[in-house]
Amino acid sequence: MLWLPLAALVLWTMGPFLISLSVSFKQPAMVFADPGLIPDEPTLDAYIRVLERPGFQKALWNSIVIGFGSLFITLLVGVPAAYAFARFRFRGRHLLLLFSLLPMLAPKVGLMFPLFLLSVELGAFDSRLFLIFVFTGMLLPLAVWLLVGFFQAIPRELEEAAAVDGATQFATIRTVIMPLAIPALITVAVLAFREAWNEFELVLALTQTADSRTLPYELFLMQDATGIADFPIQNAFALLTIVPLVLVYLRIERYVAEGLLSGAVK
Amino acid sequence: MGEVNFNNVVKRFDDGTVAVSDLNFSIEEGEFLVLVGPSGCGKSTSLRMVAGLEAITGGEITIDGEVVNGLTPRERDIAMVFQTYALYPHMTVEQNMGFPLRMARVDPEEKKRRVRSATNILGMENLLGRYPRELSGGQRQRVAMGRAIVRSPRVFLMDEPLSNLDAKLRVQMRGEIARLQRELGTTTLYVTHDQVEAMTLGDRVAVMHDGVLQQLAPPARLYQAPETVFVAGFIGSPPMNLCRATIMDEGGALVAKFGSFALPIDPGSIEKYPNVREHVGRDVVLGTRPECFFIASGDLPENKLVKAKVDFVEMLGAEALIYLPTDAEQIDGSTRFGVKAKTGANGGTEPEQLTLVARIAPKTVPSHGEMVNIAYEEDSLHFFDIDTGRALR
Repeated sequence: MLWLPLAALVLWTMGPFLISLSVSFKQPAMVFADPGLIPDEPTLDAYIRVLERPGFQKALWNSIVIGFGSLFITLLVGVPAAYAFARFRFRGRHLLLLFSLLPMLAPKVGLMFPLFLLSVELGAFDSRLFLIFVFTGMLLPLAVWLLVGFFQAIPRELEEAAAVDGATQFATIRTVIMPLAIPALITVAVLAFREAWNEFELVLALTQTADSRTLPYELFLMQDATGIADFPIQNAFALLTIVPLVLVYLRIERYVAEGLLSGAVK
Repeated sequence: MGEVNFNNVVKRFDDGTVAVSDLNFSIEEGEFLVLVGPSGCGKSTSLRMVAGLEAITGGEITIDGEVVNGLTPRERDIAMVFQTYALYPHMTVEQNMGFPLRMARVDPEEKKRRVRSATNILGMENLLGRYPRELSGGQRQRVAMGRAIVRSPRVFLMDEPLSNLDAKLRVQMRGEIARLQRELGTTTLYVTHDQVEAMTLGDRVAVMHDGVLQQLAPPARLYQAPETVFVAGFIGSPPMNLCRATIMDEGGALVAKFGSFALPIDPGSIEKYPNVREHVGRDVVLGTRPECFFIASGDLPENKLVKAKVDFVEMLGAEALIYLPTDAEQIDGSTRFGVKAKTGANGGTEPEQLTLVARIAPKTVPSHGEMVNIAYEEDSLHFFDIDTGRALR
């Protein structure tokens, strides 16, 4: 009987997803005529139309560039920062760590206007690079906090052993700490990538042209592009947006769970 | 190669605690020196200062005459075995053992050869491809040893390397460490809280208490002629009985009176503790070893006997321990003369009464509540100053 609540939860989360999947395989006219979950005449028509749209291809490329760009810079800055917080005792360490959380507390809507003004001032409005930096700023608190916990869980003796064995500080980080931190790095990378991939409001505020729009913005634009609601194409678009993420997540889910846990327990 | 010197070494932590105060001793080339003491006595800190993992607050440590205070661990040419082994979890046994050589940029062929020869010495050729998580505790311990010996360092440092093993394995690995060190002849500093390890492994043993070196001597001397009350109470199991006693001169013969009991002091004991003569009429700390008591046979004169009532008996097979309550004041070597005692942490408590422990042959074991006559090997009494805790020599 213990599985009952779990089954209900799965149904609850999977429900909308299944409806979306069902609608995406129907003809636009059949959406309400054929209310069943399994379409009578399944068709790939909606998917083909999505893939053929230049807006989709462009936005997909933008999402990939911005997603990987943000995740790369987040790790580049977050890993050394987290390591320093975890291992070195310096003045103001605790306060700085708390400050690094502040960006997470500020509501995104409150940041939209200042960031917009800033981008205009810098001449960076509607640029992918500016979005990458904004996302990095949003992601760093989470990355640093997760990684600090993880680095602290790595026994200090391992680093001491490496030092006695003749490793420099840099060699210790490269040969001992980094290989052990892989689960945590993957966790942070996936979470960071997902945030950047799914972000909507800031993209809406900071971009204007197809050159820098990402998938969620493109999906939003599609709602009224066709005049009348074309539910199959919208759902196909939405599903194609999350498919890459799901595929990546399924492959490394084990590492992510490990990473989240080992950071949390100690 | 490998002479280590401690010159007035002090370690004070940021919060002001003094972990090690004014440590002076030297480890000779090829010597196996054991640092022993209760937890928090500063022994591990001393070892870590040699390793370079802990900064030295004052004084200097030299290796082969070179002051190493400012050197990083990697510049000191030492190897260390950690209590937790600290094996790299993501590396195989071979990679773990080869790590110091890899860091020293030793040629790969040479590295392989040296790792193989170390594994041969330790007898674990078939484990080279395994990961630490796939090894038993004893095997991990061997890998940690292997990682220390591949590089032929100047000094081995071992920080309680056996304390994570079960009792049987510990005895076995103890033998292996002793053999290995003899074969390699590498200077070794070994830290433990276990006096049996200290006594069996060390060429010499340094006993520490409250950051102060109490005595540095070969194991047998430590047992036979402790320099301080702390050493007397620490070395030996069960520990020495320590109590307050008064030296009396009874018609030319010296007697130690403790509570309502008394033992005659043999000239043999006075020879070992000549200062006893100057303490006639004064209080001293009297030490008696449990194993020097025996059940008296009928022909001993009355004044050489201790008559006491047996409180309880522990039968250990090869021997028996009998516990005899007395009305003499017990002296605790670890609290009375340490730094803590001087700051008054132990003040105000009622003096405890000594329960005399005697270790006797199991043939003549008395039962609970029985009155026994026990005698003592009179030339094996130990005397210490009641104020300083130092032996009356």
